[in-house]
Amino acid sequence: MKRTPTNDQDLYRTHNPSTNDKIGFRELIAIDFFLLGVKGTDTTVPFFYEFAGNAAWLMPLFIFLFILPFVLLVSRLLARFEGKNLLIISEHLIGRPLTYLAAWVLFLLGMAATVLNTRSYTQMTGIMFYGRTPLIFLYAVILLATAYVAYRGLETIGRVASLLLPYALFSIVLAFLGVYDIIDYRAIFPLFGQGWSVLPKTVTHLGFVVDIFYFALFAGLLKSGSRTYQNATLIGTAMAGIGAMGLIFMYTGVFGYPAVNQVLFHYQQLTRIAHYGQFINHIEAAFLGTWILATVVHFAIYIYTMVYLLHYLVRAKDMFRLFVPIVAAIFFAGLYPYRSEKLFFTYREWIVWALTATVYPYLLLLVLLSRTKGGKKRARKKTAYT
Amino acid sequence: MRWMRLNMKNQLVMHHEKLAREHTQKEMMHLKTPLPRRLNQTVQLIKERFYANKNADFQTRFTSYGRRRAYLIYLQGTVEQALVEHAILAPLNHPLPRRRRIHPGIDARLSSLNIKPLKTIETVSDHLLNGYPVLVIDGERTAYAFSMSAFPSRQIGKPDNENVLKGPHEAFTEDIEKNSALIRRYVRTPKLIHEMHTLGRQQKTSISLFYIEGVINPALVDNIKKRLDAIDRLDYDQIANIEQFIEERPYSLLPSMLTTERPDRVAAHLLEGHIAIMQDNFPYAYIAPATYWTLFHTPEDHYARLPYAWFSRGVRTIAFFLTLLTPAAYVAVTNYHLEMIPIALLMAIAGTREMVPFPVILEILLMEFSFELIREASIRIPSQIGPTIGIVGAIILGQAAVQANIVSPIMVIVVAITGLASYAHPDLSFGFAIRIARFFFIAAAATLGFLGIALLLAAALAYAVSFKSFGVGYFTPWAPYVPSSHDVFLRKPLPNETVMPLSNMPVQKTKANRKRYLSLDKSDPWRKRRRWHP
Repeated sequence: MKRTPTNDQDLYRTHNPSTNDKIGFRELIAIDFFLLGVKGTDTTVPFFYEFAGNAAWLMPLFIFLFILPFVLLVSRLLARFEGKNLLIISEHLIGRPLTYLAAWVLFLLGMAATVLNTRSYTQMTGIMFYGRTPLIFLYAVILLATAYVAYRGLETIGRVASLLLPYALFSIVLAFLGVYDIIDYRAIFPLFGQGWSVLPKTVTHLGFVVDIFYFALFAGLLKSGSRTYQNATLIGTAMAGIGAMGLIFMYTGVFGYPAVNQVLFHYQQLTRIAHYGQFINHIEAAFLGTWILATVVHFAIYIYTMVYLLHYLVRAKDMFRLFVPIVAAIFFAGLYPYRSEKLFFTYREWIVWALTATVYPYLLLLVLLSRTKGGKKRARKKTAYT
Repeated sequence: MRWMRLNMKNQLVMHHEKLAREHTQKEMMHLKTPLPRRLNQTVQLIKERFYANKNADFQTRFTSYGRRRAYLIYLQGTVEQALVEHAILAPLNHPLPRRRRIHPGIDARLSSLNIKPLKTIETVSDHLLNGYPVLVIDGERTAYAFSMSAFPSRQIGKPDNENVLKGPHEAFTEDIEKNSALIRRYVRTPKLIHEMHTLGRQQKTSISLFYIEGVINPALVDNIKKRLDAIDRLDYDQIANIEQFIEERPYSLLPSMLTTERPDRVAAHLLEGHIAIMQDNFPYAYIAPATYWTLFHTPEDHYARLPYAWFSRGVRTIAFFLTLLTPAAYVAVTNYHLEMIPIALLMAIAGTREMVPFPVILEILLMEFSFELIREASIRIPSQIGPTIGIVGAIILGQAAVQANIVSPIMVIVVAITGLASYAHPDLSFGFAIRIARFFFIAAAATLGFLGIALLLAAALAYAVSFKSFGVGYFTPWAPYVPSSHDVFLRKPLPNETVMPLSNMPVQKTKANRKRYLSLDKSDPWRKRRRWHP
């Protein structure tokens, strides 16, 4: 429902750039960067090495090429129903029951991914930096800070992300400066690693980057709508891809090719090696600071998305009351003891498969149906840039 | 228990009803106490109101107005005594020529004075309190007040807290009329509006709003007037400080208004669509809405040339992080991330800490507390022994603490750097906020090292970016991005600062006609060489 401002006070509220609860181009770029770029520092990297061998650093590029048409299709879908969220469009196209089903699937898979990822990040922090601190405590503290950032709302997450983006980029450059003299550039050859076999694996694991399509859930909250979504997602994804490519390139070059498979937490090990002259070395704790800031933004968006989905599913009046149950559920699910920590990778792969198998067909279905069912035909040309 | 609560509630309700009743009675009395016709009655009423038998300041002077008796009433010290003698009493006592039958009116008799007719006791009392001598005449139901108040007030002096090396050296005083004149001197436009509101029950305080019509968003003015209305309904005895009545989040560390004592700074903000709120007897102006940037900037940033201003801002940005994070980072590094310190430095630190019996966190809290103690004491201490406290606090205490092995020398350096950096913040309120916040960061660092600092930083950043001052985000126009002159971390050359900060939603969107300027620029052969773009 669109409100028409009636008096000055209303104008002040609705036309106020500080309070209209929308996020713009810069914010979305930063959010996309933190959604995907951080994956170059976590347990996604071992998967890339498994699929592509020493060509792992090209994986972000392949993935980007594969999702490019999807981004264009989804933004075209959003343009046909300008100003509407993905779920509302879905209700219009496939009906409410099926949308509910899809939302439940999105929600459950998203929750599972959030639980696994938060847990693995906590383990990374604990094992690499806080050997004597109980993991439960670390997990609780990280989740609390993340939940607080998420609780302040999408607008706040976007602003925090856009303020932190330069520092995140700077830290990648700083990491490169720290290791450039020990990178063995020969390790990236043969350039395409194991050859064509990498492509089918990339396709089956497109679920790694499904986050940016989750963001279509908030399409109604974007300034300038689908145009912002398309451009910001492309630019943000490209930035994140370049960042991740640079990081993985550094891992391969620094640790050497077969040896890199033995490394568990690549980014943390890399920052441990980074050195600047003879005096400054071992400043991995400074990198830990920026990495944690990025992590907080990353999971804040996850938690916000989960809360949003649950809010849609249970038709809650106040969305912000759902933060406590969601965060509590993530916390307790994350405490589940595995038989072996190696199982983590198995579970993660299952979830990625499931996400790939559900989200992309669902989006394709919506895109196909939108061509026959309703919507504006030439809406996109009229919208302006942010 | 339930009946008790009910009973209490009833009592509270009754109390409020009683207050409301009294209030309406007073208001009715206020409307319905006209001056009596008889002089004695009038004087008696006023005397009762001012407890004249006990009150030494209350003065009545008997005089005559033609053939009628009259009294001149005033409060001693609030009026200019000599002027009263010369301008009122002397002409009144001067005998009229006998031939004139018709007695001239008071306006004609004292025509050189600014005379206000008063009809009720309450207005008479208000005028007496504001330093007006009041003439009461027998047989008349009107009293006359003369504008000759002479409250003692300070001369306009130099700013105490916001010094600049280059720029005007004038600061507000306690006298609202002088302050208003000062602002008018810097903003000479008929569009400058000075609105006055009177608030407070016992002590009437006048609150002034300054803004420029046609620049400011009218909704902002409305909003502030609504808040003043709410305070008026509160009927508080005395509005000691309008800032704390008007702000949205009283418990927040972040200030939502900019406090300044410089009229030039007020003028600069008024021209960018802010509103200034001043109050009588208070030598500071509050500027709303305030953002992080307004609190971080100083007036000198625009008086100094561009590179110097950039340098100064850079130093201040570093000082901000030093104040907030130095002690926390020291705690984190020495407790959790020892590998970060180069081995030689590590040995040096370990050597100095060898004899210190306390853990780092206790040591740093001790030193930070002593530093805050010195700072607090040095404000309150009489100025004759002021320099002593610096010597005692900084040199003797620090030196002795180190020699007694209570703290390590490196800790003294950390605290000294933090203290020095904390003086670089131009805004008093924001400086307080950072100083308090750094203790939270110390606690976070002591708990989880850099992880704790980063988590707290993320949470604090999330809080700060969602903080709003009068509807304007704290980090606008940077996050969210809103068109402006990019006067945030750095600034542009002055002729290029042509766009208003649209986060304030001003009616007027630009500050200058850049197109016309550029066309002139092209024709200037001397400037042409310097331009990079066509």
